[in-house]
Amino acid sequence: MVALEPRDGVIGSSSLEILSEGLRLAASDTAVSAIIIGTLPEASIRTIESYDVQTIYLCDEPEKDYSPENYRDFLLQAYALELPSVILLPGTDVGNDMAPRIAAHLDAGLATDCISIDMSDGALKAERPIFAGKIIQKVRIATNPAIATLKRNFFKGPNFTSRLEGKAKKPMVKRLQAAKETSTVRSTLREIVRSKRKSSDVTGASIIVSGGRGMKGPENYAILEELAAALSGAVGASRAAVDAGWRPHSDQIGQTGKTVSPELYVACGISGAIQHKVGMINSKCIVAINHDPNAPIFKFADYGIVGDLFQIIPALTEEVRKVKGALG
Amino acid sequence: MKIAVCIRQVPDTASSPKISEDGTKLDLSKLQFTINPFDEYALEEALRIKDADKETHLVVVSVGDETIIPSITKALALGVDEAIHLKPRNASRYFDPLSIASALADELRLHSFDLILFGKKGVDNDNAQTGTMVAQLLGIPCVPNCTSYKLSIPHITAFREVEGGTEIYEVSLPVIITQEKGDNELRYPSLKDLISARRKKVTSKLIELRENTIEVIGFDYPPIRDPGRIVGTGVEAIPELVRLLREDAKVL
Repeated sequence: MVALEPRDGVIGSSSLEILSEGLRLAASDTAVSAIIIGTLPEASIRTIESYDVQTIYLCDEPEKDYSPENYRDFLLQAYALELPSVILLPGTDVGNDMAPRIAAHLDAGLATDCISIDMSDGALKAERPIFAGKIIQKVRIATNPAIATLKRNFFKGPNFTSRLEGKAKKPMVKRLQAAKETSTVRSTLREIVRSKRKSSDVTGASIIVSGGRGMKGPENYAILEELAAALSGAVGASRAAVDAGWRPHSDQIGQTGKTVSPELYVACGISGAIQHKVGMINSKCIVAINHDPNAPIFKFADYGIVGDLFQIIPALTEEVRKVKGALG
Repeated sequence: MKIAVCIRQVPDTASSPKISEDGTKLDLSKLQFTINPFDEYALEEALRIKDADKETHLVVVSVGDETIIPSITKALALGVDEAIHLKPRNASRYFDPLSIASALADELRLHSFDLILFGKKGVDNDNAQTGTMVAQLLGIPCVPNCTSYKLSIPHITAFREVEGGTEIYEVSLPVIITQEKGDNELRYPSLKDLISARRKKVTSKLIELRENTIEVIGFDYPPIRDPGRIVGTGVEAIPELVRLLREDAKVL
């Protein structure tokens, strides 16, 4: 059973990666079902129908009075109907919230933030980063069910095509109702305060421009925001900048912040200490800009420029705009 | 009000454990251990509640052998009233999150805490499961990854950081909160605190943990990145950098 989380009413590529993994793991005689954790309009269900999914579970849950305990109950309802031997969830806020709840309830082994999964002799095997990514832990879960959350923005392989050649049967859509009596043992989501900031969230951003102690103050992040805008990316920060109060914790990248794996990571005025490194080392391409040629970051950045970032960044923004303009 | 903070130790964040020759074990012997940073944030939040209301009874609960005693002592020195130390019968065994959660739930069930706090995850194993699992086992609500919360007994308003914003939850106590980093660096103990810590009650119990649901079969190092290069100095290096990003790395 695969849990898919819609974004803005659409099943996106990261959800489809999870679905593909589920299909890949299922033996040819194992049914795959999908449960949608979120609201999905009818039209978007069609995205899933081209995959070899037997049943799609939707929750008839009103948007208001959301409670994580309700989603947990929907997942458990779907589980009871399907009895899958493996449950896969996305490593998103909702997926990470749900997984331990259902694992504890079902007495199931749960591997979180997996970077690879496979079946072996009926058991689920997974690899996951530990010690902030310095070590890869290999685990085997023989419980039935076995549960795994898949690391966000990590599975970037080609879309897996349907297992069946030719016409696959259209999946059955089942709607699950909330329990009639609502227990008082629930937390209720009162409101969501959306981030009003210009730059987008670092989570899932394919380009990140990040600033550290070398930025010398919050007002100087304006030049990073300009560069990020030119690159259509997000702005991140090291712990030093967050602790100094220059940037919010939600921007923090590193061991006690977020782990990101963008296509491009531009580290500005960041020394490259291990606690920051572990948060961004999986970036496809790392660029470092620092006045200190001995900064540790130059040892693992793909490209580096030594110099004054207050001169370099605006000039880089100019060049990027020029090049992008020329490309049309 | 009665609050429990569940803490444990992890190797220092700058440390890098070594993998054994056969790839099946991690050598943690030469590492320094400290209280898990996220547990420290939880502890600081609890101490602030006690600052505001001296009648608050604060208990720290921890699963581990005698090596965790310094962390328990530190917590007591910071103002925690008492500690419960759960000692596993077979301490050398690997304990998965569910086995720890079950042991903690069994102990917590014997008390009536209004608030039970965890760090959002351990920075060694990065599982982020235990706190939420304990809530499930106890049948109480859980709000994970909270940056802060406001008490208005018998309710609590919890602020949870999510992608793109903050969620605000209203919950009735008792509740489990797993703590995210916020404005909550742990304070330092004073000499007076360190002395009084020795007089505080520590209950030690020998416990049997349930069997694991996860088997750890090995370890590996992540693939090593190819070393990069310094393209140049100052603004003169920019055209070449941009060219490399476009043509070689193909990220522009």
